[in-house]
Amino acid sequence: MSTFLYVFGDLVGTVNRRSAGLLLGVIGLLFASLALFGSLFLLGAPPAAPSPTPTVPSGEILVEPSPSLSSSALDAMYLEIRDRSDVATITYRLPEELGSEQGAFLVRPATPGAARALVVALSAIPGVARVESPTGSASRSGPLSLSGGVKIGLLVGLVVCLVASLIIGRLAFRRILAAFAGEIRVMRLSGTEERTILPPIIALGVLCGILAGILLVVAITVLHYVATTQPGALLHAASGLVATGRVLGVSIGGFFLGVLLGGLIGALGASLTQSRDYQGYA
Amino acid sequence: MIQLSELHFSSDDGIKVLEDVHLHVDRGEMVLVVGPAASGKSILLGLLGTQVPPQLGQILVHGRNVARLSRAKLSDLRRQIGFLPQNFVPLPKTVLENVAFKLRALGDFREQAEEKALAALELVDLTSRLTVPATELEPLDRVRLGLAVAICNEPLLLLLDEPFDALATGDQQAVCRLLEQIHLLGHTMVVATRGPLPGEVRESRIVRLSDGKVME
Repeated sequence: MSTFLYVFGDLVGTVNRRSAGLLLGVIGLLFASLALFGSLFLLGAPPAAPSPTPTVPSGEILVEPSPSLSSSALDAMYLEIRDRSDVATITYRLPEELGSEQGAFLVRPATPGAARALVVALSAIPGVARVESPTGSASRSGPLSLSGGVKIGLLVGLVVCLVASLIIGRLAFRRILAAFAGEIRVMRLSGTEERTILPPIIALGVLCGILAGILLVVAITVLHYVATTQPGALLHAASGLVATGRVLGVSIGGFFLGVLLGGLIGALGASLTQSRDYQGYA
Repeated sequence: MIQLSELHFSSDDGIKVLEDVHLHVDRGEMVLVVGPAASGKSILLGLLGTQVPPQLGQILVHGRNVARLSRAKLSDLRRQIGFLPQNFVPLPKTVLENVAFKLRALGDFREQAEEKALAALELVDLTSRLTVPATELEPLDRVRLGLAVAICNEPLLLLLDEPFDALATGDQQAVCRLLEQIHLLGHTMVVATRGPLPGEVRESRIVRLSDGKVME
């Protein structure tokens, strides 16, 4: 076992019930921060199309594939849409029939209520350039419509959670390091280098960030699963959850942001050891 | 081994703690620095042990000028210095773990650390209390443990700050015998004490520190 792991194990061993509670608080606040960060990209209804195409028959959805798709990819897309449980029928319309430059699929939802969710789900299929319905359309790459008030609320919540996690993190590390002060003094007195003493402290913060990041990934995965398998009211409020690429991006981004924030909290904790109380010969 | 020249040191509030101190300690020598409380003994040991940054004057330890050493080289030098601080407080671990912790932190593997720790504890006659929580030790055994921690990585220089403090006369003599034993192994030792001196160490070289000045 390396020196790092030995010192890290010893540091974790000094965590008592109270400091563990504070660390859990840090993980919770970091998770809340990451969730709010993710919400900025996942919440919101699909944006309305500026001018719906009049050629889409009532009750049907027009799915326009990317012009660069090969015929086999087009077939695969056809089969994928046809096999969906919320799709009643699918037909291919030639450009001349639609009066446009390229052909498209016309999809009829299994139930009228499922139309909106289906629009969002179809827009998430790779290779789909545009999805339109008489009630509205969703672009694959367009931003979700989120009101300014909600965005500001999310941002304020994010900042509050971040500041709170830094404050609670500092409290937690103050308590943990007070119990580990003897070990730090012995190490400094005996000539242990700072690169041995400080990394385990930072690693404890990183561990909190990793746990918060894992919680975020699990939460997003569960919500994504719910959104894609049981489309309902959830999709109207969080339509980004059905876009697999977006979900993956937010999960990975959120996870690494959690690690970064945890490391920052750990570094703040490590900076506490520069005070006189932690010097070898105070 | 140690050469102090024109050493001055003032506290944060400007009070002169050490004034024009000159001191030379040869390899293998045992020096007792005797002086009343607040005479600057602990600061002197802190400066020798590179724990307190020097202000004015020159400190050579093992031929290296302490003031000019980088952080990494200071750490290297500290590894060659065993330090028993005043009122040594053991870690809340067993006696063996207290000694092994320092060695593990310095990079030794578990088996190696335990082997060295056992050897140090054997030297201070604490092998019968290996698994006892160190915080439950009597004052004499605490000093023994502190010495074991200080010598476990076989340093060239030992700095002991008030090892006789708060000990009964009989215990002080036991510590003296222990210091003699350790000295016989070839360690250079500087021991700070406010006195009175226990009989067994009166044979050593005595340096008196008064009002920040050294008198031999």
